[in-house]
Amino acid sequence: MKTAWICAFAIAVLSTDLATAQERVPLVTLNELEKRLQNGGDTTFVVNLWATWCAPCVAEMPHFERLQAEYRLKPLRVIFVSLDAAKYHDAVRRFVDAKGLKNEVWILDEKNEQHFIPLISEEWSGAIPATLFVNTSKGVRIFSEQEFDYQQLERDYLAIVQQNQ
Amino acid sequence: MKTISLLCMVLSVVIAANAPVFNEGYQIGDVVEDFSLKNVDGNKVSLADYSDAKGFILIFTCNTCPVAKGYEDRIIALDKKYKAQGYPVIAINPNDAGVEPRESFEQMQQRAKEKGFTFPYLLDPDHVVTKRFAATHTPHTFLLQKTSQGNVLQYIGAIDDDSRGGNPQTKFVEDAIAALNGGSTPNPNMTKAIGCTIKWKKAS
Repeated sequence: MKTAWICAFAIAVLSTDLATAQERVPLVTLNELEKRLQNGGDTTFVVNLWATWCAPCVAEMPHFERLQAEYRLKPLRVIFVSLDAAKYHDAVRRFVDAKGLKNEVWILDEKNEQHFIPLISEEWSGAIPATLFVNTSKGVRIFSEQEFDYQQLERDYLAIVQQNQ
Repeated sequence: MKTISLLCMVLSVVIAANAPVFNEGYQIGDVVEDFSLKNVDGNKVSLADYSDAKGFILIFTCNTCPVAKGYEDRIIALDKKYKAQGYPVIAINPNDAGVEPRESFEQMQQRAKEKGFTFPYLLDPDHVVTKRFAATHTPHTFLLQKTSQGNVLQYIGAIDDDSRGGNPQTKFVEDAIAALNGGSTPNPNMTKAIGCTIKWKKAS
């Protein structure tokens, strides 16, 4: 009897965990992503495109975490958008937990690369890591297909902040 | 009036010169220059070596990129199917082993052996050929058609429409070759796909 209770309890805890992870790392379509960016007002969005299998992406993640932490009182929102294929979505959630990522993490729910790659940016070859900077009220949309160190990332962010409207 | 048009011409040249260099590599329709690169068997390989070829499936791929590795079996299958039809695969590793040691010549030899590559797997030191094609990621495919003018670039992009799942619906490269064999040109002639950035040599 006792074992059954423990078992039930464990299942309850585990399923809550899974539900939270799915809420915390949601699937989003390109439309939903764009809507968030367009409704952001004077928020500067730094959207980092990554995947769990991409070593240079994983290597630069701490710089994006640091940027959000340093400018937490500013209208800045760093979002990690995973391009992992559907079968790896649980792996993405485990990765986010294991790394203890503080920034928002979304999984792009789009399959057709001919559709979503040019819509994110005509400049994008499809290589990752890549990062999109958007500030709707300043009319800024800058795409960078490159790896960032912290200094370069901060410089690019501040260049947008300091830009006149 | 003459002065104005002259001024305009000068200005447009100046503007063009200052425009960000975005894709300076070969464009569709360009004749590409031949190269001579070292294969994993130690011999040099050039396009000119293939006197019977009707063209080439040139693929920039590497040892480490999971997307590229996910394509290896499909690349081997492409070579098996199309070498006989006159379109052999030629693979080039664009990555710098100084930046990523697992991209070394020895590891390329090992990878080619493990997977049983039926095609050359070439080293491109200092990214010379990679830059000519303006390849940006692995895997990145360039389909060439041999003509009396030389090897003409006919298609740039992905092998098929599923770089991440391995379950393609549309096989871009196969469709492109079918178009060339049918006397037309590929449509689409450019596609995009998620891949790994090229590991460029660090400036010394």
